[in-house]
Amino acid sequence: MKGTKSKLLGIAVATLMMAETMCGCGSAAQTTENAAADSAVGATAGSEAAAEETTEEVTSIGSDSAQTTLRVAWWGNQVRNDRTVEMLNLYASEHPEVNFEVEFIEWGSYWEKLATEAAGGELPDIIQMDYSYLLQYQQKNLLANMNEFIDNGTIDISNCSQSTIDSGKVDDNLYALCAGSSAQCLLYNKTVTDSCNIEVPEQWTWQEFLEVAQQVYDQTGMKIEILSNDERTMENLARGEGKVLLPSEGGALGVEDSSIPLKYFQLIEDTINSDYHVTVEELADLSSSDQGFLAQNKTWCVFTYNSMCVSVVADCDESIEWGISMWPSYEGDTVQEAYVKPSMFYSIAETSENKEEAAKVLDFITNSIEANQILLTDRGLPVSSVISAEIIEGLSGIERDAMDYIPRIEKVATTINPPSPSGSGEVGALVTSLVEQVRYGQMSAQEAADEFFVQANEILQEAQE
Amino acid sequence: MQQRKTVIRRRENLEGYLFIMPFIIGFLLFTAVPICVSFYLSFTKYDILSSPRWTGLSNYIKMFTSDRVFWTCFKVTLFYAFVSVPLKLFMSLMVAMLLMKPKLENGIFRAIYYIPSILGGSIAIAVVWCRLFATDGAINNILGTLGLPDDISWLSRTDTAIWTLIVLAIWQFGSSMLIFTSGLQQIPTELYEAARVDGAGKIVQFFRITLPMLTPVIFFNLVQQLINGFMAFTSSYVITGGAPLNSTLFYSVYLYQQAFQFSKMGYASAMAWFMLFVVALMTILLFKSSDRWVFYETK
Repeated sequence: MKGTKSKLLGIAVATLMMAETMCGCGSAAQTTENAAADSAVGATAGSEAAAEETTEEVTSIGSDSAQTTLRVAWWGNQVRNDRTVEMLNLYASEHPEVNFEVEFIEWGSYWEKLATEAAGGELPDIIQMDYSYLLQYQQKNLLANMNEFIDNGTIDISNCSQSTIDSGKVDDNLYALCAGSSAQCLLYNKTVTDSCNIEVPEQWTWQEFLEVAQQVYDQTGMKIEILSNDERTMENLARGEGKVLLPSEGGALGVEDSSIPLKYFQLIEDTINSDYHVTVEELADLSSSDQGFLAQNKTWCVFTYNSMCVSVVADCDESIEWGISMWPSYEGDTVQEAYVKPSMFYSIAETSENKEEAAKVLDFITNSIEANQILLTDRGLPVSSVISAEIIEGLSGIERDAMDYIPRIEKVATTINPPSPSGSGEVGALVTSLVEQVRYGQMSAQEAADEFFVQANEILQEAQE
Repeated sequence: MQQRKTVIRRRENLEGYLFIMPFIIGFLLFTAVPICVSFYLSFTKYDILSSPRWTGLSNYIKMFTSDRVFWTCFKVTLFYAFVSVPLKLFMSLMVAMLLMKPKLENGIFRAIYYIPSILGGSIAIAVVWCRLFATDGAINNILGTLGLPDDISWLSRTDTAIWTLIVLAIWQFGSSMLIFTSGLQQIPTELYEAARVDGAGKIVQFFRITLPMLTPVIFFNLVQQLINGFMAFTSSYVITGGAPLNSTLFYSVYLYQQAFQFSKMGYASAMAWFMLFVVALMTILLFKSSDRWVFYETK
């Protein structure tokens, strides 16, 4: 009798535990939202996603008696959070009928949160949008068509370049208003290159760049790091041949064979086997450090975006002089791979009940000089030419150099790739994982390239279905 | 008479159900319903933004036949659970025995040793762990002062990275230690006295009395910790992120990536159900085996 009783009890306990297991995954996922943010150590300066981390916060701005409450959401770092909140404060003080609820969070968790809110029909009124997610959200009819606000003059875009505005359009309808432009750049420690008597040209070829990297290493012991965290470098190699690595439609790669992936993985293999590239050990330890390689003086340059330069150098020694040039191109390329990118957008949710009010705020952000004097260039060079001229005038040092880079690159830049298809995030993760295998010597460049070609096509195919 | 009794019993039952209602409602809403939904979703393709689309068994087929990372993370999790749990139980039993005597300082020590169990899952500890095992971190420093090699890159080597997580798991032995402590206190002292009279030493006493008497508690701890081990998430997610070469990629982290980074909720649900199946199977096997080695005094 006792025996059966204890057995029954045992089974009951086991069932309960199993139930716990199942909810376990859910609650674990929730706690990590902040986990991801808090774990923010050692920002890899190259990646916009990695370098911008803050904990999630919800704050209320403006008077409690306002009739309209607008919810505004963005991802970003502390500088952006402070500036955006201050700008919204200014708007609320000028428009007492509006107040704001703002949500800000770091990049990775932002999209998880947004997806959940979208599923519940609870998207914020104003959403900071990224080029890589634009298509996905537009196709699901989650974004409001802003054409009517342009036509009725609520949002004034007369000072914005047509190409900038067009980057937020899908089928001639405006779904995302560009918040600023940015471009890929190579930020380098000019103090170091000067001391090595190296003149950095506007654009190197990879070969020239790697030769210089060797030279700098021989003289100073400082290294370089080729990005592994996404597919951008590979994408650029494809652009150089006039191809689009990840076309919006078709469910397949825009390259016919593994030759372009091979160029990229060969670069990874050659550099990791050299002494001028950071080692896998150093890369692993980076996550435990609160400083990037650049701030540790371990590397002398970093692949980044011009809009990121200011925050990248914030941790570095103030006496260092910085230079900004373009990403290297590949020998024999026929097309200039550099392009100007809308660094981010603002969209209005289709579910928003206050689209008109939201549009007014976007007009304020785009055209008010007071607003932009607060925001400055954190989201890239302001899109209105009148505003950007005035803002650049007031800047100095690295912040100015970073912004002057846009007009410089615009002279040679080619058109940006169309928005990436769904599945491209997984392709990015595939690149990262293959790079790791090459760097650990588990795969040759050729094997990685072949593997990439097969698997990336499968991922895109499946995402299309 | 008989009838009145049943009425009373029925009313008592009703009251009883009312009392447990809050739990039942919570369980149905937040556990039972999501479980059923997740079972349905495991047969669909669902990206949160659009509605789920029925795809039959394709998630399961892909999982078992073409997803190599799936099997990698499954093996990593098995290794982690089967290595860390016995070590953790051994550790907690030893500490529990050390702190058996009812002295004041033992109470304080027990409280102190319990702290890691509360803190262990936190992000702060995860970050500290990163620092400890960095190439220029404290662990290497200590090894250096002992004259051992001090340039081991713990987190970048496939053979060492998983051990940093296992050590973290062992360090959180507090809760099983407490259960062992109460288990040890349950053992009648007459048994030890009788053994002493018969001339049994400490070691014999441990193997002939303590261990057999403790098997129900060991069994309970084993089941509970094993399930926890399979569910482990934070340490892998925060400390190593699965690197290097997926050698520390826990099942739940990969599931999370699929669900939230790649928006493949259907696939992630299928993974969750497979995990449930494995955990259930493991638990049933443990219960089956318990007849052979677990000793219930009351039987």
